[in-house]
Amino acid sequence: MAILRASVLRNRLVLRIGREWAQLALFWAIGIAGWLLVALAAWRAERSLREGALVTGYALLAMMLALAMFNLKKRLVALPLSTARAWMMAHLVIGTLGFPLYLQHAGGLWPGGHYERALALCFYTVMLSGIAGYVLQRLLPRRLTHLEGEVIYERIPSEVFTLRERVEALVLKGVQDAGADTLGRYYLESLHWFFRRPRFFLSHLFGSARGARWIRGHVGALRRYLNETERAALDQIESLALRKNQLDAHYALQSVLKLWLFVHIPSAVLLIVLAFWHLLVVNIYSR
Amino acid sequence: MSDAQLMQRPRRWDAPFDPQMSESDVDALLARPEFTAINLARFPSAAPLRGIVRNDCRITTYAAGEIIVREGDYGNSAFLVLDGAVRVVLPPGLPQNVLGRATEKKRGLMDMLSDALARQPIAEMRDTALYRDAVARTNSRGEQRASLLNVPNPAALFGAGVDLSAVSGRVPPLLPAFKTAVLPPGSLFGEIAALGRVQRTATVYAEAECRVLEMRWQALRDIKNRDDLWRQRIEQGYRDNQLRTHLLEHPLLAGLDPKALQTVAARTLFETYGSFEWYVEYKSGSGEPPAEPAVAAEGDYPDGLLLVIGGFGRVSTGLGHGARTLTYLRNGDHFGLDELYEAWKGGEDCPYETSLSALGYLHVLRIPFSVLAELVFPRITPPPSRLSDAAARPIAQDAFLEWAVDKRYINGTQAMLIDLERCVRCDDCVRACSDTHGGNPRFIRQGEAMGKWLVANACMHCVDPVCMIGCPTGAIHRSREGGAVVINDLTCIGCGTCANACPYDNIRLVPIRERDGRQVLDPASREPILKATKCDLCSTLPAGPSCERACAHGALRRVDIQSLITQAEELGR
Repeated sequence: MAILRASVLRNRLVLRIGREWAQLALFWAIGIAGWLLVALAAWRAERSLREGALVTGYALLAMMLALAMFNLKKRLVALPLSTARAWMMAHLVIGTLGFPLYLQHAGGLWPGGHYERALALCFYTVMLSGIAGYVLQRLLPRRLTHLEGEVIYERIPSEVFTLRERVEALVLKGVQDAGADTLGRYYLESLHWFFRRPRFFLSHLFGSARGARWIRGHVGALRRYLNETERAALDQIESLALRKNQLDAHYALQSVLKLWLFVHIPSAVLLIVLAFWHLLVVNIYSR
Repeated sequence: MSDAQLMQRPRRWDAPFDPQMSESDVDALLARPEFTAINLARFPSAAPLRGIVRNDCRITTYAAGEIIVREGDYGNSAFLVLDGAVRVVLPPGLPQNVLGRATEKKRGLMDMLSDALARQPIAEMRDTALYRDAVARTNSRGEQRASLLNVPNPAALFGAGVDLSAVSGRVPPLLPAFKTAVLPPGSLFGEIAALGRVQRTATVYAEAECRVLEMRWQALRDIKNRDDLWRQRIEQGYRDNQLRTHLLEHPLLAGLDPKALQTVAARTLFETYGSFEWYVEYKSGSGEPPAEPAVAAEGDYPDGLLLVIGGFGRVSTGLGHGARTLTYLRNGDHFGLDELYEAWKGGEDCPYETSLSALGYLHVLRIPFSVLAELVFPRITPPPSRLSDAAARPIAQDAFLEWAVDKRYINGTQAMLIDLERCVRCDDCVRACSDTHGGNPRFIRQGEAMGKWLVANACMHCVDPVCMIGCPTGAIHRSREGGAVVINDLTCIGCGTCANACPYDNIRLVPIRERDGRQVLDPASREPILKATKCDLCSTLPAGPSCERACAHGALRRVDIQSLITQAEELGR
């Protein structure tokens, strides 16, 4: 029966969520065990008067490559290489454990030597952009969900264009019907700026209602100069402006959700390249 | 334009079911008693009976032991026994592991690697030479058939000591545990599965060499719609062959002895409410909610138990000035048990506590109260919960249920459900779909949202796949494995019937291109040749839908829509 079926499915849902947590716990267990093994191996190397940093260095490089594989996995989606969700969990665990390993390898937060500092700078950029990305990905989707409607990022410009055309048609009609150019002048002085492209980027990003207040303020100031016909047109324009304001919020939040990757991925690539050169130099000069 | 590839616009019967079917074959078939009584004048000139038999039917010969249809398979054909010995295995049927189910061809590792490395620069490229070969290939007789004589463990079927290598001409009798019945020449089978778009309920095999006429469901539909005898025959066939299976499968009636079951079957009534073409009204976009014909009204007195065998029903109860949806019913559910049982137990009539209406269409079996009182109620325990108990939950929890029912998302078995609070709008799901489908995604990450849940525009692989109604070539069909609704690109003629029928706008027609990037055009009209495309659940990939696997945030899931309602309950807590 439908009610009983619902309770069975609820149990399945609980099982599924439980499975995700179990998977994450497993990744943490494996990650911590691996990190302890590396730390132990480095310690034993030091005790044997060998370079423990070589052990942690190779381990760090392996971790970086494993982290970079996540991007490759996304391109090989057809291959049965587990789910992106599992890869993401592994990415988070490995990325987090990379920091203590780095500290052990570098011997502190900030190494000596110009090249090593460049490497450290890259490492911190990747790490901090990753943390920022994680936080943004946890916070911003909820904010997006609370906005009206769902819009695909690439379609925002065309939606703004459509809104602008509708507003301009309303303004023209309002001017013709009323025989006064108040609406037209107001559009050119204020709304044209607003509808030209996404606005109030930072306000939307930080959750301020400045955009909506700006619209209501301008519309309220104008209303006293309009007759009934023009006011009806203005009401429609206000509604379209508020819709545009929602698109602006989508634009701001979705832009940030994409932009952090433009820091994270290039710096990660640079880090791997620098790390390989570092490895080469260390191997050459250690002989 | 001048560099375009030209191709004749495809039409119905471009790819006959069997190109080898001769005129004398057709004459012989039309001379059979099953066809001679049909009034030819009732068929339109564009689709005469002769054309239907010539193009939408094929004669197939099965060797002894070969399986003609298997229980659990989806199929778009019905079968008419022409001659030879055919047997049907009655419930509970054969064990699944001895049925030798054929598997769909999955893409190998090398195929997947080469696809990933050599991405198509232009979307929707096709090798049009394959379309020219399609006729020959779709009617290939080289297909492998499973046979009861080749099962991995023959002793499980025939008992120890039966030497199958010595079998010639006739299959030995199955063990007594497997009940079978003979289907004599002239018997029609598989028609309910073909017309009702449901799984086949029994396995049928050739006991000795036999010939059967395999009819595409379009043929069966056209003949049934134009001939009363065939229509009555199909209904009678349902009563004789399927009804007992339906009844026996129902938990309330399981375990009834054959005589009691016979009594129940004989006195059960068939009822259909609403319209089979519900999607036409639903898609009209009039803004008004589609009409929902009443099946049973709260306060009325029930006279029989309703078993749902097709379609959907809304169970509701009055609340204020409206009706509150408590749940919905689908195949296998029942309505009225609580009240009938109470009436039987207490000896007084008990009115319906809830109402039932048809969402689109609803096929029900009505088992009269007297039959229940005599044969069923004495054997069962009281229902543990009542349908009306659902009215005790907070009204706020009903929002998802009401929404899913109103939008008819209850039809979906593999709806793409996105948790918007987890989705980072990265479109990895879209890219994954595009990468696995030749550069063009098979869905749009947009759709109707309710709270944090978005049902994206992706094929939901519906319980009632109305897109399959009217396909002139049968290109859109249920896959034999898993039951996903898929489109055979080779036989799709791009007519758009499926796309127009889909109530959720989840099928798209796309212009195709030659392998070298040239547009493929119809030589007469110079219009592009179109093909219908939709989500196929990545049925050729071993790991399942790539959209779901590509979501790094666990936001996208393919779900039976029932779980949406369950999650709504979770949210309500």
